[in-house]
Amino acid sequence: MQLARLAAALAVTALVGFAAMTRLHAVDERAAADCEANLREISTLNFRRSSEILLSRSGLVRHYDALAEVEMELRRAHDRLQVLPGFLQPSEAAVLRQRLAASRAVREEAERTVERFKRELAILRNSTGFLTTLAREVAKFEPATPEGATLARAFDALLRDLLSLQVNHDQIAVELAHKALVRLRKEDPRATEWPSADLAVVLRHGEIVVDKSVYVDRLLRDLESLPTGKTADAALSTYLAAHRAALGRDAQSGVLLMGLVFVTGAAIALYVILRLRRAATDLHRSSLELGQAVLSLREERNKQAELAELKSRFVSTTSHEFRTPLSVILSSAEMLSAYGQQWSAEKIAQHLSRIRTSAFHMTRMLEDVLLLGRAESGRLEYTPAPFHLTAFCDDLVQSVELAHGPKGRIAMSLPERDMVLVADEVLLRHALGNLLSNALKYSAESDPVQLRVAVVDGNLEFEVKDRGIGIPSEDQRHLFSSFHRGSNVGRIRGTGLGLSIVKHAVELQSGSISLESTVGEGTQVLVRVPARVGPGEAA
Amino acid sequence: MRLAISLVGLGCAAKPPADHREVFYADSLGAELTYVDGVLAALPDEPPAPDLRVSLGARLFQDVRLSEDEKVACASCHVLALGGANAQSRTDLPGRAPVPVNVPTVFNLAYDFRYAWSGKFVDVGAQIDTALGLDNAMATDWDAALARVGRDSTYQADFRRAYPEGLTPRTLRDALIRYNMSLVTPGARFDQFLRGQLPLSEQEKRGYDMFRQYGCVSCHQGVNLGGNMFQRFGVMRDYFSERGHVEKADLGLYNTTQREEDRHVFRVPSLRNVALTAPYFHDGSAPTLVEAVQTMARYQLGRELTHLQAADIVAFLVTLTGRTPEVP
Repeated sequence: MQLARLAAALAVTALVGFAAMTRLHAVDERAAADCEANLREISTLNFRRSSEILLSRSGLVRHYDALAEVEMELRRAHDRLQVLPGFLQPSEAAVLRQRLAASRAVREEAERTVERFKRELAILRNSTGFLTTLAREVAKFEPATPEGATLARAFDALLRDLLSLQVNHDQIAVELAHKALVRLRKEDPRATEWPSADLAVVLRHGEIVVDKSVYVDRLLRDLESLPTGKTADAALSTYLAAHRAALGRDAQSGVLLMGLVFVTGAAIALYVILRLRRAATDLHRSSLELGQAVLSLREERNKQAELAELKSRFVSTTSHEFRTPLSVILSSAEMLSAYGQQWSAEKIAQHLSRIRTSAFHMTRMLEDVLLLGRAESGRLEYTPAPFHLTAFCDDLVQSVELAHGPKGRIAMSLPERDMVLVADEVLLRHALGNLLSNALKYSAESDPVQLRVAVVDGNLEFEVKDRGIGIPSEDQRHLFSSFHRGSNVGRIRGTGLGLSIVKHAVELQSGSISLESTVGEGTQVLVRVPARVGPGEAA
Repeated sequence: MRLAISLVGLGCAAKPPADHREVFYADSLGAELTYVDGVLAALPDEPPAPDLRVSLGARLFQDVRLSEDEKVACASCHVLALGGANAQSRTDLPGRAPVPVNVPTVFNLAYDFRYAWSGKFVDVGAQIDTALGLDNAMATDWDAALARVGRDSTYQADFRRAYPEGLTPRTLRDALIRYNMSLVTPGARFDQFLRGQLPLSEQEKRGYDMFRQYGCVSCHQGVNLGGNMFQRFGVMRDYFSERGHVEKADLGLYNTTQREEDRHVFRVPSLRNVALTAPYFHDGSAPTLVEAVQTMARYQLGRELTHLQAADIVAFLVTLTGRTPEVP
């Protein structure tokens, strides 16, 4: 009864705790997504601004609408970021706010510059418009005097130089335009009958075009040189890091929550069981035991069935695989003993080689089976020791090529200088040997196989790439379990043990394998295992 | 509520209530503008129907209880029938010093990018805060205004219906902002012309052509024919030294930024309903539209317009008059 009371109290406490937990800040995914979307939009808009500046600087036609729009949207995105998601820790929020403030300050500066750009561009456009309209009117008049003709030419030259200034804002273009203005200033407007001829106004507009062209370009350059993208990206990366951390915390509090739920459940269950036990202890116990017995029996039976299935698969596969080389050995041996004396040396050598190859193949298969047995019974161990990377690779490639003829098919790419690594050479040899021989076996003799070896961030990486028959995607799921082979292997011999060995060997080293394969195009396997750079090689 | 639009850079603004983020009523106005020649656009013909919050703002706009002495309302300066402005160049309210600039319009604010002559306010809310606090306008603050308005039980009830939180400084301000943003003037002859529904007369057409060719359109553009950029008053000639008596309000944006290049820089005002809002300019120096057009041509474009040319442009500007919002 005391136990029951304790269980009840525990259940109540846990329930209270549970209620408290659910009120804790969890990552509000919508707020998080909104915040991230806004930050990303700011980055995108900054990029858009740069491209608009580029367009505006390089083209004849300058437009501010696009730039003004970018600033407006940036302002909106910044405004939406006034409220930060609640899951951020105070310190994270402070850093993010600081970064956002920097980004906002830069945007405000950009806004001011765009406003100035708009203002100056309107004036520039107006003056350019005035001059070109006037040019159209002037073109209608045939100058009656030589002075009139010079004036018209000077005006013409000015227009041309101003036009080129719109595209090219360098010092030379500016000086040319200035010279054209000076020349025109010397002319006498009375020499012609220009309709709206007020040479002073023409000159004033010409000056405006020169000044504003340069100024407008400078404003664009100022805008370009603002660290807009940098500040925005800093804010984004701060946020992303905080978000990741919050998700981590969430997972932790999730575990806590789970724990609480578990305690609650357990306490309630205990309470119920204790009450029940008072009523029917014996019956309960016996039924419980019976149930458990049934359960373990069923489990046992399942295990047995699985084992039996595996065994029969093993027997049928291996016996088939062993029978083929055995029959080769037998037939060649018989033929040698019967006709050996009549045969040419060449033919004898050929049969001896068949025997040797078959025996070699059998030995390898046996080794594979034994190795797998050791791995599956947990007797294969990870024992790292220093070894030379280049020597290891050379040796490995040589032995694989020896087994799967012709030489030189494996193209190796190694780190530039040799290094001593500390890893398990034996396990590596099992893993890579199998991968390389698969690559050679399942691709045409004319196709090369690539082996890339690299040391990246304390990991030894091996990438084996072939242009072979590939692995159908429906087979890729079972690829690493024993005795499974691709449905497209045809007559190519194999036990279905290789990749299983690879997997065991890599897992023992706490490494990882990834495989990409397309039928008819080839297979690419990347193995990554932790390896220390050995003594004296601290690079 | 741009009572204080006028009071460029003067006085202290009433502090906005703590949470002053706004959802602009005008967000629904900006859609689907079609630009002609890439620069001008017609106002949408059917603005959204006013909701409860907007109508509350409309009542407040006419309500003298918003001001400290309960003598002036927003509508005292911004007369709806006079284009949302008034006919004085220095508005004189009872018991107050004259407003130091010509009161600008409250119409079509939704399409302006900045507010006040100097363009120093980015949102209408800040503009209203300032107007509320200025001595020559409402001379009060949000809490005091709320206390006066809150004595009216119909406001209490209506605000409870319009806002979950009822009547608070925030909702009071929000209703005013929404009403201000809802004041648009669709149906101008020019808008109908842009949509191809109506021809312009010969004279109006000439004025429109000149408006574009002479370069007015460089600055007076967009859906509001203005209201989307800053510009210096006096591009081709120095307006202020020729006029004389330069005052603080003449410095424009400089009062806010203290940057030399912003001296005499103002927000380009909208030309919509311009025929209704004489006198003209921030200083109210042009009593008629013809004079205003000639001044602009001289100082901004470097052209002397004849009286006839200016009259043609004025004929065009008259087509920009739209339907005046009704007093509730």
